[in-house]
Amino acid sequence: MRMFLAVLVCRFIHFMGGLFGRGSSLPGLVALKIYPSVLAHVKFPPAVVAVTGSNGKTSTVEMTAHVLKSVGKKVIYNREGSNQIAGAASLILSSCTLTGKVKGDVVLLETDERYAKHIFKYFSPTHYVITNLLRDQLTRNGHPEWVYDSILPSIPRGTTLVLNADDPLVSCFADAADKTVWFGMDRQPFSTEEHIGVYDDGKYCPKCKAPMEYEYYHFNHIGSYRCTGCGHKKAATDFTVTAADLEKAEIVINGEYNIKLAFSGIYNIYNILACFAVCSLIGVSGGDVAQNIGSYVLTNGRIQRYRLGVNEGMFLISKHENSVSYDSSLKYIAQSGADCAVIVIVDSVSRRYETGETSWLWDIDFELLNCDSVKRIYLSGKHAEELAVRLSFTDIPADRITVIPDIEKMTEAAGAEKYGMLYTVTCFSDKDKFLSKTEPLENVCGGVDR
Amino acid sequence: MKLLHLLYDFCNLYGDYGNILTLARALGESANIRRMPLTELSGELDFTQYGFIYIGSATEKNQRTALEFLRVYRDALKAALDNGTVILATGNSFEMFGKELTEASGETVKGLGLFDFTVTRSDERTVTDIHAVFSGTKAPITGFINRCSAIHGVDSPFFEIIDGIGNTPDDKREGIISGGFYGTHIIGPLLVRNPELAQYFAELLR
Repeated sequence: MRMFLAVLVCRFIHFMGGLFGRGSSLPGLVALKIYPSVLAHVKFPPAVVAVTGSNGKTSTVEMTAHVLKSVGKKVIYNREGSNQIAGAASLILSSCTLTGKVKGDVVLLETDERYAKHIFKYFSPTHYVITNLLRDQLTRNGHPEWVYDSILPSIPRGTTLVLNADDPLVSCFADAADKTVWFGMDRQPFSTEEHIGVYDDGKYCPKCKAPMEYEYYHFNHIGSYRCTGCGHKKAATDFTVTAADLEKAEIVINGEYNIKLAFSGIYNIYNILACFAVCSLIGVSGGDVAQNIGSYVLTNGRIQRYRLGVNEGMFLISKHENSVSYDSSLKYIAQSGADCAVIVIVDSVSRRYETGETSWLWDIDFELLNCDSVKRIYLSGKHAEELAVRLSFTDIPADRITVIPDIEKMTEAAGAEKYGMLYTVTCFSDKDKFLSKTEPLENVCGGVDR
Repeated sequence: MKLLHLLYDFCNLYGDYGNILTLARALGESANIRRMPLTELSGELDFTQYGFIYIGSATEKNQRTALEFLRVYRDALKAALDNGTVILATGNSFEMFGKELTEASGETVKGLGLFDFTVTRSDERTVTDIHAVFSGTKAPITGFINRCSAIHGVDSPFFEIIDGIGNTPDDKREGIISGGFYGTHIIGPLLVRNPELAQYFAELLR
């Protein structure tokens, strides 16, 4: 009876929310008030997939949903921003019959790293993907090892972990799992033998803190490692990117499945690989996965083209408080090689909370912009001066840097001088402040992974 | 002027390295930064050769490991302080210099014992912006705290808090100054955000 009521109320609020445009977690919040353990009594389909980690959750979930739907499965999955317990309850209960049976073939959940343990108290995913653990929103997340300790108690008995073998910290979760399936990438032409970046979180073993040796790095601390103390090392992978060509935007998985990339970036390759692994594990054939990932174009607007004054531009969404996300945008700009100017905006550090905390600027590898193709760098927003100080500690010539804190005045300046291309790097929290000053252009590029 | 960035690759969580770069810039061309990784903490080390030693924030696990490595050099660090070296320890690194540290589990380990304060750790993190007063600067200090511990038994704090929390949640005094030792739980590039504080240390070293 309580189930009946919880589902009914959840669906009702969900419906009303649709009319009034309210947030997605309210129905679940109310349902949990009526019946706190309601999720423990839901009848789930045979496949319940959860995805967590610092970067790539949303892209992995959306891509996986696309592939599963393309092969005819009914997928219940959550969108960005509803990845805590109330959000999960809203999603699941509004997809249930009044007796509490999920009307779908697969439940696919993006779960917040810190809240997964509360969600999986009531039910267990069959497959639990952990993408990576990187420095992300340290103001609320503490640090990657702290996040590790939050995720660890969320791992239920019987669940198959699907882990990124190339991340030494993520790999430690295998010790707590009944079964682990590994994904990873072999050495590629773009892999490096030396670590690149401002900080190196893979220098010492996450288990015993002895120095680690890397055969190669793909980015940050992601690569092939071995601890000189306890022997912790990259596991043999079940799902493997055996070849990757960033210029041709093509990868090969397990030596036989060719996939065309909508956006050519190392991070995107990992999202595709995680998607491939999990779809295969729930019974989709490799060929079907490859074909349908190939047809997938990220639709979350993380890359947008625009016109500003005399320039065409490309907006590369990055996340404040997430240096890897910034680094990936800066790498993209540096690698494109064509003459350009770059706009970096840091105005509101977060959409959700007020903070003046900008230590993360020091974790970003701004030195990447010290290349001949980058003709000018505009720094803007409330924290423009702090950005300027940060960049003054790189070797970028000072006369290439223009600091204009006022975003509107900056756009006037950047739009007046002709550059080959204008790249804008900022976060969701500052996106519209900039794009509202520009004229949108049709997107030719699929999207950018974060 | 020789500056030492102690455990630059191990206690380096929140862009802390900006602190020593900023101080070196304030000191001018005479400043010379030596970066010492964890793996170089072996054999005889003479810390008295440095005018300034900086150490930054670490994960709790790294901090415990760092503490064991530094324990061997407890007397060498003490000798440097007695000899006039200034030490700045930010984030949880300053906790290592106290008498003891008690984990949330109840486990207690000895600190380096250079000072009498004690540290208790919990499973909850406290994160907050802080504004504080320091006697050595005119402008208030701004910074950020991100910690899972409380510090007890400090008589001579670094800062008086205007907004935010001090050494314990109900204490308005933050950090410690004792002789040439400056400890604060403020994370990140504190000297970048507070140029007057960078000048204060530069003056101290001139």
